[in-house]
Amino acid sequence: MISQINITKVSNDDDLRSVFKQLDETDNRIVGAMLVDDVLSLTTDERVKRAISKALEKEASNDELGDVFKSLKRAVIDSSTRCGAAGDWDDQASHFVTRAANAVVTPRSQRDTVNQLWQIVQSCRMARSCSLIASSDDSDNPEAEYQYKIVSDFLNNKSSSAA
Amino acid sequence: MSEASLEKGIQALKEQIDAPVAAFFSSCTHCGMCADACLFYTENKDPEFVPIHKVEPMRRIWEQEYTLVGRAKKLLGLSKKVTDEELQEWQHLVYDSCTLCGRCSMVCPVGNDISSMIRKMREGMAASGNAPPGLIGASTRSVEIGSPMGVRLPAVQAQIKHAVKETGLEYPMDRVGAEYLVLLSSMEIMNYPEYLQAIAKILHSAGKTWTLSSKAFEATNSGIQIGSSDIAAELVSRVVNAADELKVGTVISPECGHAYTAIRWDGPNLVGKKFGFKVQHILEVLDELRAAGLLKTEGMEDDKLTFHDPCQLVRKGGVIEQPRNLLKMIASDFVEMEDAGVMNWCCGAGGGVSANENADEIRLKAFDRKKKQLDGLGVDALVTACANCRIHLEDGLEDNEMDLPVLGLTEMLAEHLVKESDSSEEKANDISN
Repeated sequence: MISQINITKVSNDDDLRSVFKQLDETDNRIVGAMLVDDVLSLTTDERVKRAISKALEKEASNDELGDVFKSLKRAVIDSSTRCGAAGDWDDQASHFVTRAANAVVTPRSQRDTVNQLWQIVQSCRMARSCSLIASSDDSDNPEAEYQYKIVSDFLNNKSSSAA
Repeated sequence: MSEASLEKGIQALKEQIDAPVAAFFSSCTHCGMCADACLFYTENKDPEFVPIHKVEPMRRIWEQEYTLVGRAKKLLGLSKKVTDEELQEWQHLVYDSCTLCGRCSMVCPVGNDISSMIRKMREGMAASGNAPPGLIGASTRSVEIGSPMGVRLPAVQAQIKHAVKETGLEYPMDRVGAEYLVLLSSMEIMNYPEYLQAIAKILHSAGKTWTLSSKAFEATNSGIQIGSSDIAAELVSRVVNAADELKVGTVISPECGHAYTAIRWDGPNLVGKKFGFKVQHILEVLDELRAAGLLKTEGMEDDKLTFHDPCQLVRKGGVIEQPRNLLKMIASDFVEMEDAGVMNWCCGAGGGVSANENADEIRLKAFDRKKKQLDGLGVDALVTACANCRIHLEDGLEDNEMDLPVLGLTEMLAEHLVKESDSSEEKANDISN
């Protein structure tokens, strides 16, 4: 429960992991969706946008989430660059956004061994990184800092509304 | 690539007919055993997919050029010439429906290496301009850019920058005298960047020195896939030159099946010299580290897991026990699929099939064979060690509505590495004891 989380400001990956361990299932999904929302502009796939919109709804039902999960599984495959095909880093950014969104709505029973929220974090950072490569921009990837702020704001909003 | 023509194709095929090929054609008994070993035949039951049939144009050239009866028939106008139209038709058999997986070669009762004959057949196809556009594009990018997917060095450097930030580790580039030169496939750079981070974590933890090369980071060899020894040799020589310049002890082939065959087995023959360094697949390196006590893991996966053997590893390289030794370290519930190991069925997308859009339908049909292997196992996840297998397995599983994550073995091991602080405590205890 959020009341048990003893961090209010996230400033590094250790903090992030620590928060993730303490989130309940709904908050886990909503935080994941917020992280993907931050890179959502890097994809044009409507399936991904619909899925994140649904995942951000606190009251989303398992059936609704199951439906978007099915469409995203296909979207992940569709957006993968096949071996030997000419790669496009903008498309690759979109692929990682899709991968992250898929992780957000993957049912708990089908999750793989890697921590799901951490997979979302990594995929979102990769999406940003691919976008920087696509634009030949060699500046530092700012996504991690954005993520710290997103999660910090989430925690603060939760504690304000609880108080 | 030089301009293609039928004449060049026929000449290339003639050049490929060496003593082993002649012996293979002479000794084929038309028994059909290779048919039941080929997933494209078993899943389609169409006689044209019988492996030995796929080299029929080359067989006719052999007969017409190098046998007494064939020459006589040719003189009398009784033999059928190989035409450009015929080779065009054969593209579907030689490229779309063959992954060069080598399973047919394993069962031939007279020992014919049918898979290598199909590889040779591709030399004639490429030289005559009858290779699929997807593979022509991949080969052109490999030669001109250094990557079949067009990945350039700045992109690799950007991925390294990301990896440094994520892991806090060093990713050396062009470090002279390192123990290992790590090669990557473009698939790993683009689709599975976690692989590079996993390698860095494992080699760092093992106390090994390693490097990437700015001149040769790519392991994938499109020349092997399209059937151009000239391109294949050029791509291998880039790695050899880099390894020699950097004076590394071992070149590590990544989680890419055919890249391993290209550099490890075909490489020295392609460049015409013995390598001054060792070549190992990443799983061989990891298993050596395990045996030496340098790969320390903690925790076990509770999920029921199975392993898909990439065909180039098991049939060409004999890398069979290594992944199982490694899985034992981290998997408490591991089960084998039927035919696992040396006779494992191909994923259906190797040997350039995945780069070839013409093959999309047939490769997914061929996946039915993998589905049969997986059905009834009741596993929670499928582990493999080839990026190309991995993406096709994901595609095939999704196409068959099978909810099964596909995991890379190197990444899994990195996830289970003993944390550095634990490792330091262990060392301190060792010293105090």
